[in-house]
Amino acid sequence: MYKKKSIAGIVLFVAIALAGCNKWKDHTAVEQQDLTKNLLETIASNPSLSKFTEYVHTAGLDSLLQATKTFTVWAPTNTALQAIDPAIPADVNKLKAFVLNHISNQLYFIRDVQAGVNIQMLSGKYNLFNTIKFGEAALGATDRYVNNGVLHIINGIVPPVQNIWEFINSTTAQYAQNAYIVSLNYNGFDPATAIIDSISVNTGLPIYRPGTGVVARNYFNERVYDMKREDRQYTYFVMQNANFAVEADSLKNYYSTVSAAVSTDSLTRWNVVKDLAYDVAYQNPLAIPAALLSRSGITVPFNTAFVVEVKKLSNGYVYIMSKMDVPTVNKFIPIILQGESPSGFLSDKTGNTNYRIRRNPVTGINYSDIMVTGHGVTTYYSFYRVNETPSIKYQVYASAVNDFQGTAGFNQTINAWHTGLAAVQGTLTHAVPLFSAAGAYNEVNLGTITISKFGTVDWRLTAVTTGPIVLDYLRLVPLP
Amino acid sequence: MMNRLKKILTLSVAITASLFANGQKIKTVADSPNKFNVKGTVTNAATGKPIRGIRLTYKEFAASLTDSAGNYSINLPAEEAVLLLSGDGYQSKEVAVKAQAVLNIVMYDESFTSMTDDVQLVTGLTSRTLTPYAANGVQVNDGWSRFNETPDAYLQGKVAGLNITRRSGTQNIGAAMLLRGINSLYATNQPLIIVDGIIFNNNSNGGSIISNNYTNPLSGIDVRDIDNISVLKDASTLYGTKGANGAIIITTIRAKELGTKIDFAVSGGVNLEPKVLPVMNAADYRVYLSELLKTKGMTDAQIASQPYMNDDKSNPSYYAYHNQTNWQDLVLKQSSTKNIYLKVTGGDNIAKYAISLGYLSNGGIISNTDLSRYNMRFNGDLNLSRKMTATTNLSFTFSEQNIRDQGLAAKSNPLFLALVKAPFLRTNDVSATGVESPSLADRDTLNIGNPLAIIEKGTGLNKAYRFMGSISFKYDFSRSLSLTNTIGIIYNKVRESFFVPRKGVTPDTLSTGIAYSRLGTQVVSLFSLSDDIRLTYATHFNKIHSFTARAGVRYLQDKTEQDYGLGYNSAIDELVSVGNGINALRKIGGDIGESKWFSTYLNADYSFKDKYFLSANLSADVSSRFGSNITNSLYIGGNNFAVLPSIAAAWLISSEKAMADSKIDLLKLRASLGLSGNDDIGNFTAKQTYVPQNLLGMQGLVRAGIPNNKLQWEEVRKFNIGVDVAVLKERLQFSFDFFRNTTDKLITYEPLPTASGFDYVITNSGGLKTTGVEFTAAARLINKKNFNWDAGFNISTNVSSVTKLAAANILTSFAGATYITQVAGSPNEFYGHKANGVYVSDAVAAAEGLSIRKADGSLVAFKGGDVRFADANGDKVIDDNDRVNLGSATPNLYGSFYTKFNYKRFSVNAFFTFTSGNKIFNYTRAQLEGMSNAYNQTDAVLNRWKTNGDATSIPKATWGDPMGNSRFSSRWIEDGSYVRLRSLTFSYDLPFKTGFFKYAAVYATGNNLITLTNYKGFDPEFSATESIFGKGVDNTLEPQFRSVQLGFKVGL
Repeated sequence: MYKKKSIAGIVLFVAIALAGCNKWKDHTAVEQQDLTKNLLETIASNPSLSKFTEYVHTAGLDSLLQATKTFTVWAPTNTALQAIDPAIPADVNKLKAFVLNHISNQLYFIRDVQAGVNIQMLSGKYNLFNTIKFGEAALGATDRYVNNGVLHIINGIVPPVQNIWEFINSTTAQYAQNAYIVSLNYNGFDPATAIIDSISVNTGLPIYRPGTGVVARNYFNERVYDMKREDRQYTYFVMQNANFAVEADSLKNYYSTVSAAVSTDSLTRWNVVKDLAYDVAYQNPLAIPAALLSRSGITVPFNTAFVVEVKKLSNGYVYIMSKMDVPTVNKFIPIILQGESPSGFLSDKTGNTNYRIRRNPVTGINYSDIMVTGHGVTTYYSFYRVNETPSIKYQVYASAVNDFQGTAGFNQTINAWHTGLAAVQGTLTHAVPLFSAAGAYNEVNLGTITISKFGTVDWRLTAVTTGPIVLDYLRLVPLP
Repeated sequence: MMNRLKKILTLSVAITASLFANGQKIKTVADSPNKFNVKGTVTNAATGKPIRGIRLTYKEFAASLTDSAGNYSINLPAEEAVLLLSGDGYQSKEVAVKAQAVLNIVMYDESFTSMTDDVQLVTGLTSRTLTPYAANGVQVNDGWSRFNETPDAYLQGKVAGLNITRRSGTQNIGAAMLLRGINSLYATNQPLIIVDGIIFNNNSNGGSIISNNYTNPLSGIDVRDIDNISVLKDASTLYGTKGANGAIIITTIRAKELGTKIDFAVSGGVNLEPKVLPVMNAADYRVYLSELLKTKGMTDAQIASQPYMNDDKSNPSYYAYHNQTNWQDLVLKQSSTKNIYLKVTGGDNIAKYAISLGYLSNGGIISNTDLSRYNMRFNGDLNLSRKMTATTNLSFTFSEQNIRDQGLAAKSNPLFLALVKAPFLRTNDVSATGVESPSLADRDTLNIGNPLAIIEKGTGLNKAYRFMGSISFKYDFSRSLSLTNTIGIIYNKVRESFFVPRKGVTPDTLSTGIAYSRLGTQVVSLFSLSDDIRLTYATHFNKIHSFTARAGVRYLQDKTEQDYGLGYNSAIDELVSVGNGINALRKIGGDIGESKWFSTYLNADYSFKDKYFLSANLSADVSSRFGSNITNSLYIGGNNFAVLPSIAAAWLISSEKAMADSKIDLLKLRASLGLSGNDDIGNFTAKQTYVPQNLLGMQGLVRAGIPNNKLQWEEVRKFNIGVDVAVLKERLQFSFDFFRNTTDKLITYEPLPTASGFDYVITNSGGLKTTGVEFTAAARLINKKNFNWDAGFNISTNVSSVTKLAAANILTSFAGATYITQVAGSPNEFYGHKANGVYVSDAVAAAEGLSIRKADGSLVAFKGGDVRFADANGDKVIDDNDRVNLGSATPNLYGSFYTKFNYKRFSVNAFFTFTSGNKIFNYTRAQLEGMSNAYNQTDAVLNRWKTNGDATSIPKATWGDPMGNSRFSSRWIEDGSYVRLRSLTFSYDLPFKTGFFKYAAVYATGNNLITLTNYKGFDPEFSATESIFGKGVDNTLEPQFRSVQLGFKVGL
C-alpha cells in the first residue's frame, strides 16, 4: 500500500516538475507563427511571388533577406512582373537595382503611413508609400510580418527611375542647357576622404597624399540646388535649345566684361539657369504658380502653354519648356547696401567710427547706421563691395541724417570704383540733411551711375575733405 | 541613575530571599517515604524485544534500571508522577504513571522525533511537555551534512511559524527571519538571538559598501557547533524590550560524557551554475534594437550606419559586433566547495571540554567569488568546588570573502550586466581581421559595461573577524538556591574594500564630478558587553508540587563604529586602493552607535503533579534609547521603565488518572498572554542630534530633526493558545497553535507641516495586529527492525493588519515598486496600476479613450500596442490615482515537509520547504521586458506588438517608454509560491568490527536540487532589504543555486 502511495506521489511530483519547467516556455513561446520565418522564406513560400523570388536569387540578394536586421519588402506579384522591361532581367546590375527598389530598411506598416511617407529604398531611391499605393503600384495583402521584417504584396512594379542629375547628364546632347550645367563640373577636395601622409612640422597642418580626396562637384549643385540628392524633391525646367539661346542672348548687354566678349556666353547662361530649379515638387503644370520665386530672388513667370513635357523622376519633376521667358526687368533686382556693414575703409580709424542704433522719429522704428567723424583724413571713405555687378545703369538712393552736427547739414559723396577697370565709374554728391529739416529721414535720390563692365564694384561713401560721413543705407535700383 | 538601579536590585533580592525562606520551611514538612510501586516491562518499539539497562527516574526522589528481561520496579512518592526514561541509543521519554500499578513502556530509537524533546528556555533546559509556552526545540543532528549553511538559513522550514527567507545565493549572507509575521513597520522584525546565554547582536551595524551585500554575524557560527536551537514564540517576556519578535536560543556543543570523543569530517562538492534566463540571441536582439532605435527618432540611414548593422566583413569593426556571446554563461560559473571539521569532547569530573576546529572553502556561482572561513570553539565545564561550577564559551571565526555588487547597481552588478549586455558583442578587444586581444573590451557603443571587467579587473573583499566569549559562574548556596553570573563579550571587526575599474565600466555621475573608476574601503566594528546575574530558587514540596523562582538583572552595552572612505578615478586600473582616488572627489564618512540596556526580571514557575503548569514573569527595563518623558510609564529616579508582565498556563490532560486507559498518549493544552517590547527605535532618535551641512561652500551643523522625548519602546501584546497531541504510541503527533500579536505604540513617521522645516517626526502613533495559526504533524509510518520511515510537515499562516496610523497611508518606494501601508490593510502591500493586456489596434485604444497627462498638462492618448491600464477612478486619465492594491509579499502559507528512511545502515532524508501566495515584483523581468532602452530582453519580447491587429500580451517597443507601458504595474507582479527540495541526504554507515573507530559514515547531500515554481526569475527566494518595505522585490541578486557534496565522517 505504501508502495502504491509513493508511486502516485512520484508521478504527481514529476508532473508538477514538468509543469514548472514550462513557465518560461509558455511565456516566451512565439505566438505568431510567422516569427519563426525570415523574409526570404516567407516570399519563397508564396506561389504568387515565385517570379520575385527568382529575381531575388538571381540578383544575389537572398542573403540580404535572411539577415538579422529589419526590412520592409514590397513584393510584386507574378502578374505584375509581366510588365517588367525585358532589359532589366537581362542585366544583373539592373535587376539588382530593380529588386532593391522594392526593399527598404526598417519596418513600415500601413499604420505608420496614414499620411504617406517617402521611404528610401535600398536602391537609394525614394518611393512614396501610403495606405493605397506604393510608388505607382496598388497594394495587395499588406502588413505580414516575420522575424526580420514586414512584407507587403503589390500589384504593380516600381522600377527605379533617374533622378534629375542623372537626367541632366543623360540629355546633354539634346539640351544645350543641360550641357552647360554639366560643363560646370569641377574637381573639389574633400579632406574627409583624403589620406593624411604626415603632419607638417612647420604649420602643424596635415599633409595629404597627392591624388586623394578628389571629389567631383558641380557649381550648379552647390549654388542652386543639389540635384543629386534623393532625399529631396525638386522641380527643374529645361528650355529647348532655341529658347535657351534667346534667353541667354537677351542678357548679353549686361555682362560685357573687361577683357573680352567671349566669356559673356557662360555668364549669360549661368544667369539663365540659376533661376530654373526649385525645391518644390510640382506634380503637374497646374500646380505651378504663375510667378515663381527663384533661390536668387528673381521672379520667374510661368505659362502652362509652353510646357512640352513633364517627366517624373525619383527626386522630382522635370518640365521641358518650349519657352521660359523671363523679362529682363525681372532679372535685375535692387541692391541695398547697409551703411553699418562696410566691406572696408580707406584707413584704420576705428576710434572715430561709430556703429549706431538711432530712432527714426517719423516712423518710430530704430535703424542702424555708420558715422565717422573727426578722422582727419582727406576724402576718407568706407566702401561697400558688390561682386558680379552686371554692366547696367543704377539709380542711386541714399538715406542718412545729420543728427550729430547741430548747426547745419553737410555734403558727402558716393562714387562707384570698378576694381577690374581700376576707375571711378561715377560720382554723386549727397547733401546730408539736418535731422530737424523737413523730410530729413526720407530717402534721397542722388542720380544715376552707369557701370560699364561686368565685375566687382566698390561703392564708396567719401568725405568732403576731412568732413564726416554718415549712412543708413544705399539703394541701387538697376535700370536695364 | 545607578543609585536607583541599586535600589531595585536590592528590592528584587529581598523578594527572592523571602521566597527562599518559605521554601525551606515547606520542604521539611513534605519529606515522606515513597509508597506507590509501579512495575512493568520496557520494550523496543520496532522489534518488540525487551530492553536492558534503561534508566527510570522521578525527579530526585526515585530511580531504577531495567533488567535483562526489560523489567523494572520503582517506588514513587505519589500515584500521579511522570517517569523519565533514558538509555543509550534510545529516545528519552516521559511517561505519566496515572496511578497504574503495571505500566509497560515502548521506546524508540534516537532518530525518533518526540514531543518530549528538550527546549532551551530563558530559564533553562526543559522538556517540551513540561512548559506552558509555545516553544520548539530543533535538534541539530543533520548539521554535519549541511555544513555550508549559516544557522539562520539552516533553520528554514524547521519550525512552524518561523518564516526564513535567504537573502540571496551569496555564501554566508544568511537569511531574513520572521517569527510569526510582522510586528513592526520601522523597527526590527528579526527575533532576538541568544547564543549560550549571551544576547547576540545580529545587526550588520552600518551595512556594506558593496551593493546588496550583508555581513551576517550568524555566519560566524558553524552549524555543526550547535547542539540545540530553541525557538521561543511567546516566552520572551523575560527579554523585556528585546523580546517582541520572540527569541531563538542557540546552545553550542558541550561534552556530554567524560570519555574522549573525536569526530572528524571531510567533504567536498560542487555548486552548480543556475539555469540562465532566456534572453534574446544576437539575431533577435539586433532586429529588436533596430526597431527600437527607429522609435528613438533615428532615420533609416542613421540606423544602418551603426557599426553593428554593418554586415561587411571588410569593415574594421565587423568582428567586434558580429558574435554570439552568452554573457550569463561567462558570469555564472560552477564552483567547488571543500571542508574539514574536527571536534573533540571529553574531560574528567573536574573539567570537561568541547573543542572544534573547522575550515571551509566555498566557491560562489558568480565567477571569481568565493568564501574561506576558519573557525574554532572552546567550551568548558568546570567543577571548581562542590558548590561552585563554571562554564566557559570561547569562539573565534575569521572569514574572507570575495564578492561583487548585486542588486540595484546597474553599472557594476555583473549578473545584471550579463543579462542586458548585447549578445553580438564580445568579451575582448578584437582586431579588424578578427584576431582577439587578451585585453577586455571597454564599455560598448550602447553604453553598457563589460561584466567581465567587473569580474576580472574589479575586486570586492569582505574580511570578518569575530570573537565571542562568555564565562558563567554558578554558586549553589543549598540544593534549592543558587546564584549565577554570566559575563559575555562579543568583538567583531569587518573590513571591506572594493574596486570598480575604469575600463569596461560605464561611468557614474556624482554630485561634483564623473566617477570613472570607484574605490572604497570600510571598517565596521562591534563591541558588546553583557552581564546577567540571577538568583534561582527551586524546590519541591510534598513531592508533587514543583516551584521555581528566579530574579535577576541584565546589563547590555553595545558600541558600534563604521568608518568608510570612497575614492574615485584612480589614475590607472592597477591602482585599486582608496588612497589613489582624486582628492577632490574623495568621501569619508561613518557612523557611531552606542546603547545601554538594563533589565530586571522576575519569574516563578509552578507545577502540580506534573500536569498543571503555571508560569508568571515580569521584567522592567530601562534603556539609553528611551525618551526622558514617556507618558504612563513607571518612572523611577529620572528613568522611564518598560514594565512587561506575562502569564502562561498549561494542562497536561493525558496525565490525568481518568486518561489511564486512553489511546491518547499525550494531550496538552497551553495558553499564554503577555507583553513584550521592541527597543529598536534608534540609538539617538529620542535625543536632539545635529548633522553637518554644506551651504554654498560654508560648513556648519544643523538640527537633524525634532527630538521626541516621549519616544518609547513598541509594545507587543502576545496571546497564544495551543494544543499538543500524540497518539498510536506516539507514532502520530500533532501540534496546533493560534496566536495574536498586537503591537501598540508602533513607531511611525508622522508627517509635519511644511512650516516646521522638517518632513516628519518619529512617534509611537501606530498600531498593528498579527494573527495566525500553526500546525505541525510528525509520524512514524513504518517502524520495523531494519526499516523505518518518518514523515512530517509543518504549515503556518499569519495575517497582519494595521490598526492605527498617524497619516492616512504610508507610500514607500523600492526599486521602482511602491508599497502602501494603510489602516485595515496589511503593511507593505504592492500598490500600482492594473494592466489588462495590450490594445490590439489604434481603433480599440481610441474607443476606450484613455490618456496620460504629460508634465506640461497636455493629454496623450493611448494607441494600439500600448498597455491597457485599468482606469480605477473612471476619469479617463491614467495617473497615480488609478493605482490599486496588487497584493503582498507576505506568504499566505509557508512551511516544510520531510520524509526519512532508514534501512539497515542506509538512510535517506528528504527535506522540502514551501511558500505559497506571496507576490513578487519581478524588477529584473521589468528591465528585461520593458523594451525602453538598449538592454537585451527576454525571448518573450519577440511577440511584441507591431501593428494594428496584433493580439499579443507584449506591448510595442518604444525608446524611453513615453506612455509608461513598463511602469510598476501588475505586469511585473508574479506569484512567488514555490516548493523546493531543500536538502536530500543519502548516508551509509560503514560496518566496523574493531573498536578503534566508533563509527564511520559516507554521505551525499544535495541542496536546492529541485524547485517548483511559476516564478519567472532565477529563483523566487531572496530578500533585498532588512526593512519590510523592500520585501518581495527581485532586484537581480545572486540566485540560489543547486549544490552537491560528498562527505566522509568518522568518530574515534
